[in-house]
Amino acid sequence: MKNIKTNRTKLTGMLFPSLVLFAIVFIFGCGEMDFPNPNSPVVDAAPVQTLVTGAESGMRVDLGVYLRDVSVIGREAYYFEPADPRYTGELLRNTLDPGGFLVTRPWTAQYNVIANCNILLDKAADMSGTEKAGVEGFAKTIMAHQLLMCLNLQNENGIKLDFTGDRNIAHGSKEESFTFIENKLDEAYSDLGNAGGEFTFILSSGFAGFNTPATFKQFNRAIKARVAIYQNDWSGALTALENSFVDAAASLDLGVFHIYSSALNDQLNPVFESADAAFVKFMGHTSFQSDAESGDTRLLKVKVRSEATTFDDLTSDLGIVLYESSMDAIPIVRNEELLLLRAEANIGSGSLGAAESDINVVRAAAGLAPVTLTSDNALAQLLYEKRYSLFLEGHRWFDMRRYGKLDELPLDRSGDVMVTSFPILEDEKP
Amino acid sequence: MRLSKKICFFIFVILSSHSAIVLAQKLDISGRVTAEDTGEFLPGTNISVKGTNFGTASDISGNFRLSLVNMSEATLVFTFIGYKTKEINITASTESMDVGLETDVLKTSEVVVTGFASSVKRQNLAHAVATVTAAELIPAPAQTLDGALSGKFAGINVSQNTGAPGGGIAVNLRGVSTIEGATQPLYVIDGVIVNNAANQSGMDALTKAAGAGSTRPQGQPTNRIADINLNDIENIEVLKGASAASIYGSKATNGVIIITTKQGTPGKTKIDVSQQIGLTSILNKIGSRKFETYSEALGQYGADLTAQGLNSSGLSEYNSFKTQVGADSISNMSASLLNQMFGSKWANRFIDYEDELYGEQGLAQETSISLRGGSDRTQFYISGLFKDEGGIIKNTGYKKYSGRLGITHKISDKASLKINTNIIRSESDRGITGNDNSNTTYGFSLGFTPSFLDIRKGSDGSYPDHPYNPSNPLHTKDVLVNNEAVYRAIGSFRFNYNFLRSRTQSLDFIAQGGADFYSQENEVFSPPDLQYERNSDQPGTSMSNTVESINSNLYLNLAHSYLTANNSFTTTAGLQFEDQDMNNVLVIANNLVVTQTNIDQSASINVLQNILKQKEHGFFVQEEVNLDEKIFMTASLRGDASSNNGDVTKFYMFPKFSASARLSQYGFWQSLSSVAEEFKIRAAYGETGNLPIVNTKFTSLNPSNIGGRSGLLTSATSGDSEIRPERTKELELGVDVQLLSGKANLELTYFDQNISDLLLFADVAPSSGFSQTAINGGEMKTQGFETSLGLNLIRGTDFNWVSRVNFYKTSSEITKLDVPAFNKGGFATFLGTYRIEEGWSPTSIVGSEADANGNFVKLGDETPDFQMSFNNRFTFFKNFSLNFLWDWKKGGDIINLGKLITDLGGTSGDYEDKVTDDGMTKNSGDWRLEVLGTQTAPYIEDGSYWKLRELSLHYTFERNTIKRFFGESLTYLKIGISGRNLIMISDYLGYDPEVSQFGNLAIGRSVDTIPFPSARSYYFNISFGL
Repeated sequence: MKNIKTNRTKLTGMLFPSLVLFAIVFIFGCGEMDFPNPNSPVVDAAPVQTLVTGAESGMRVDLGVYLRDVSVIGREAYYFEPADPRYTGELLRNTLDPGGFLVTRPWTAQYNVIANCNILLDKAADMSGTEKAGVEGFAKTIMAHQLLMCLNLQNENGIKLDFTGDRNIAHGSKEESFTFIENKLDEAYSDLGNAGGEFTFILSSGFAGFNTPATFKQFNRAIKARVAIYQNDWSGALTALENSFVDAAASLDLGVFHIYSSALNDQLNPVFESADAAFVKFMGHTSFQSDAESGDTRLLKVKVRSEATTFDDLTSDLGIVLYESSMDAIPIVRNEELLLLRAEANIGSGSLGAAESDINVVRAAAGLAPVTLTSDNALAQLLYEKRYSLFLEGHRWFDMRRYGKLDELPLDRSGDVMVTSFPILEDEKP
Repeated sequence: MRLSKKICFFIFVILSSHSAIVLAQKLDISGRVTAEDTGEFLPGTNISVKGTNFGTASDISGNFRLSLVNMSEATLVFTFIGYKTKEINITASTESMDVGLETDVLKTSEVVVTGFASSVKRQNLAHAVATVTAAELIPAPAQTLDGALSGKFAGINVSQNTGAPGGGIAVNLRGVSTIEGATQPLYVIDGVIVNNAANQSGMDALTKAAGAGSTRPQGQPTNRIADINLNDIENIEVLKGASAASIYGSKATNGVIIITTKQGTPGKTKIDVSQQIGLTSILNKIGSRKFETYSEALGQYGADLTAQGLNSSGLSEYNSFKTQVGADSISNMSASLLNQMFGSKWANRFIDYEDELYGEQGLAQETSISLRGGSDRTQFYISGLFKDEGGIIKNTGYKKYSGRLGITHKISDKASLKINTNIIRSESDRGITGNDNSNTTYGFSLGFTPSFLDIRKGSDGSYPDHPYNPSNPLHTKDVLVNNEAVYRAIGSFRFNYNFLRSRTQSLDFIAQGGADFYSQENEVFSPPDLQYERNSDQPGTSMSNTVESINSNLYLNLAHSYLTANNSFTTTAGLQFEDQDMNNVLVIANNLVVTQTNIDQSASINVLQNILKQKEHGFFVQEEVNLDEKIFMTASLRGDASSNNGDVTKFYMFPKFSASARLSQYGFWQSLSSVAEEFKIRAAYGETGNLPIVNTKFTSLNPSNIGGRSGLLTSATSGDSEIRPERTKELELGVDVQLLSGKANLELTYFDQNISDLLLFADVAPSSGFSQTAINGGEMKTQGFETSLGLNLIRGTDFNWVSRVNFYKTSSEITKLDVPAFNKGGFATFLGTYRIEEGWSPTSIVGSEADANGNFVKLGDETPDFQMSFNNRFTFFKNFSLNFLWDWKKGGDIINLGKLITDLGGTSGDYEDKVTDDGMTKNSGDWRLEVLGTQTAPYIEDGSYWKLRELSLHYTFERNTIKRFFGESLTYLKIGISGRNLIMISDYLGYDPEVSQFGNLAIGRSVDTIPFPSARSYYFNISFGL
């Protein structure tokens, strides 16, 4: 009897320690509570390559909205969206809502890329040598490009030159903004000079031919030339162009592109629509056809449809055939623009001969006879070539605005008004 | 878990064999416990010796024996679930006794949990706790647990999001407590926290209602508490507010629902069988516009579509005329001319498409079997369920199979173990309903189907294309698959070990825990030959969604009690470990190879994955003091650390204090005791938390790829590395009164919650690279009042009437907002949205309307004025019982966008009701559309309702009759009829004022975009015991 009882006590006595042991195993089995986000990496964990790729990819986010915005205001095209009357309302009547997506989405997407560039710059601060210079050169160039796009829309309202999200900090003025962008490009240019023979990261094939520090510098100067032109800095533009990839002998499509694919987490060309579909949204402005010189092959960028579409009192029969599929690339900057920028700078500085030769290269490619520039026709000729060469690439509205010619753009309906600047976003104001 | 049961497992008579001293005084008592009304033995009755830790339990035959050394007299306390507690004094001369216990219909003797390892008698309890017993839970069969709770107690608002089979139900306890945080109560079954996630099916990708993987999905999914077999539930305790739920810490802001399943009882094995057979049918139709004349339809739809409503000769005349003059000339013709030509050919056809779509009479059946029995040391409970309910739409329905095994085993005098395992398979077919940007759902498509148009299946078996809508819903319902299947396993254990038991002290160790695992698979198949698929550039959609989820938790507790002559002190302390892991993979395949359903038989595939991982560690200490059954006080503290918090090492503290005084126990009450024999006042204060939304502490990057290389881009939301739980502080005051010699009891409770550190997403300047950031920034106040009156005015075996009336009212206000006021929920301001602004109720609804200063005007409020329920149980002619529950919601507004859809389609049932606007008489449908954009109010409706939730009538056969026909083999036989949601009385113009397009969110629920219509169901049932 006694023995049995002792055994029992021992047995039950064992229970508690074994439970405690179990508990300890469980507690340690629980593991650390400080685990990372299982779904997406945090900023600190992101490698440089993914941030570079992300920035490059991010440049395409809402590019469709941006291109529709500027093409519709620039009277190059219409966007007939049954689900949203704002494309044929706000953009054509100058009633842009500072909280509406036409204003906020391009801005937000561009500052997202800028944020990526700032993260890259933070990471570069811990690097050294050619690696550091390469990352900084890339980040600052892309940042400048994105800021320029924001400034293109905001125009007189300037842009945010502070990236802390502080709503009390006002936009920089238009001039300050241009200076900021130019400084970023120049800093980047010098960084790229110290970045060695190869980047430590890989760019997509959209940068083919411009994916080493030496060739990326040419892309940097191309953007710099655009910025200089926008400020009427003709000599600055010509200097920049000398170091860019402008080449009258090369293909007009030489340049840097946004590329597209249907792969996971990639994007499709936002401009492409089958011009033969029963209903298309993006349609050319009829003046594009009526204003063209006869024989201009650049008219093949549109296709006359058998039936005209009328929407919101606007009518067009021009389908857009700029792209053949939703995987076609959209240019960031290409030789054709650079030739025309060089012509513009030369016209500005009075070198009509030099301008004429570049313009005639472009015209020849469009199947047109050469022209002779005079001080009277030079600007009009340049704007014509830019309009047809860079159709729907997002330039027309800015070009006309810079030369005070917005009143020459057609207003289709009574009540339509030209937009000159986008309003400052609701969320950027105090 | 109730005390009486729990004590069975760890209170044992301690007969000290160590003691060598022979004591002079000794009480030896034996007896038998029976039920007073039926005379049945009550095995497992708990018998405790008042003022000591001694006690025993009755055996298989209801017998007990108790030896108490060193005592000359004692008071024995007999407790058994569902019966009134009885106290009997014994002296040395008492040798044997027969004790009869009285049924406790008003639950006055109930025992309620107050911690992880403690409980208290309801009459002492210092906070309000609602309890629901098995009999109260399902007088009529219900699909889901949450649905069955409707109207069962004060302080609860149960609202189904959709009538789709398998549920999708929101349970709200005590009003709004958060804006962005979790909204559903914590469900704890036998000590395991069970997962109640609402996992998206992927349906959004088909309806385009929201982007797949959207942060605000709209699929109206089932929430997983639906899987539980209601027949297994013995008892539910509901800790409604922070003052009661504080011990559950940072997950308890929305209350805690504690479920105890049925357990075995010692004795002969009892087998209970119940069979239900019934039908389901649509509860309420919204109706469709009837076009009496050709010109009326012409005005709405134009010549071409209206021609479909002409009789056959009219239609062929129209068609030849059209060929002759061309469509353009017809569109230029005046309506009166057309009317002249074709008006007389109007077929005046009315096809009731609600009947075509929602007219199924679903067959419903449920078979439930349970076995319980065991020895004094080991008891078991085994149950099985098969349930199959057809839906009111063809190819929809709900199935559930469940098997349970529960074992309780006494390992030794000191140790006991309880194990519960439950395997479940549930399956639902839910069709395609709710919001939609592709006009593929049934409701949207019907909205665009005028009653004169015939899109019914042709005699050749083909479906005509819908001329006015991208899909033919009658075709869709016949072939679309939207199936959800869940396998689930829930296991739990509870181990008790008694270290010490003396007359005045006891010390127990209690380990409790378990795991809940499920795998959910959704299959969506939309064949390429459906109208909307054929017209898509990627025809055919197949989706495969998989969710694997495991929750586990372990609670380790020590409980010590110390008794003095009149007072008792209970100290409990413990550790909590809680873990959650979930992995969700959704594959969307488009452009299917014809006849194939496999996702790899497609030209385009999209994949989404979401992983959820969460861990909590906590501790708690609690002291309960009972002073002479007069005053009862509790103080506790829970500390919680969670992986969701910015600082994962920090323990957030959630204290609680409560006190009650039974005034009726004091001498001065004597004169009042004839009025109220029990009178208790109580006050409780407690704090709880609502955890930060998972991963909001991180600033994460989103994938953004190019050129086949993976990239990362800053996301829209930046995290807050210091994010902390929302905190609810609740003060609860109440009075409990028992009147008329136990024939009535009344509970009055007032609560006042202050919620601080509100979890919000604040808009930030996008120039930072982010659009919003997660913050703790705001405060809210929620107050309310609950009353529950229980009556048993007529008593007797021939006629008995038990009635309970619950009343509940709550209101909330945003008291502080660290971000600018903002709109939340809905689709757009002009379509109705919720307004979060200081000084406003957080459930305020606004729209286009603005005052003179351009400020929003409040158009309505989702929070009802009050809710009441009336529950009655009659027993008459001895063997009949009648049970019914009416549920009344007064007020509470709904944004009825379903009406907008049918207005846009010109088919609203009330389209032609006349309204006067600007001195002109207009069709109300035309008027609503005309003012849309400046007025949202026409689409905001009062959601008041009366619902007959449950009705049942049962007849129990006399024992003698049973004996005559079945001999001894049957112990009881009961037949009856029952129904659920039989009657709804409401002015609301949608299918059901219980609706939420966006599922279980705190703000923005009451948006109606035509969900699956609600069903009523009726059953015949038979149940018997073996």
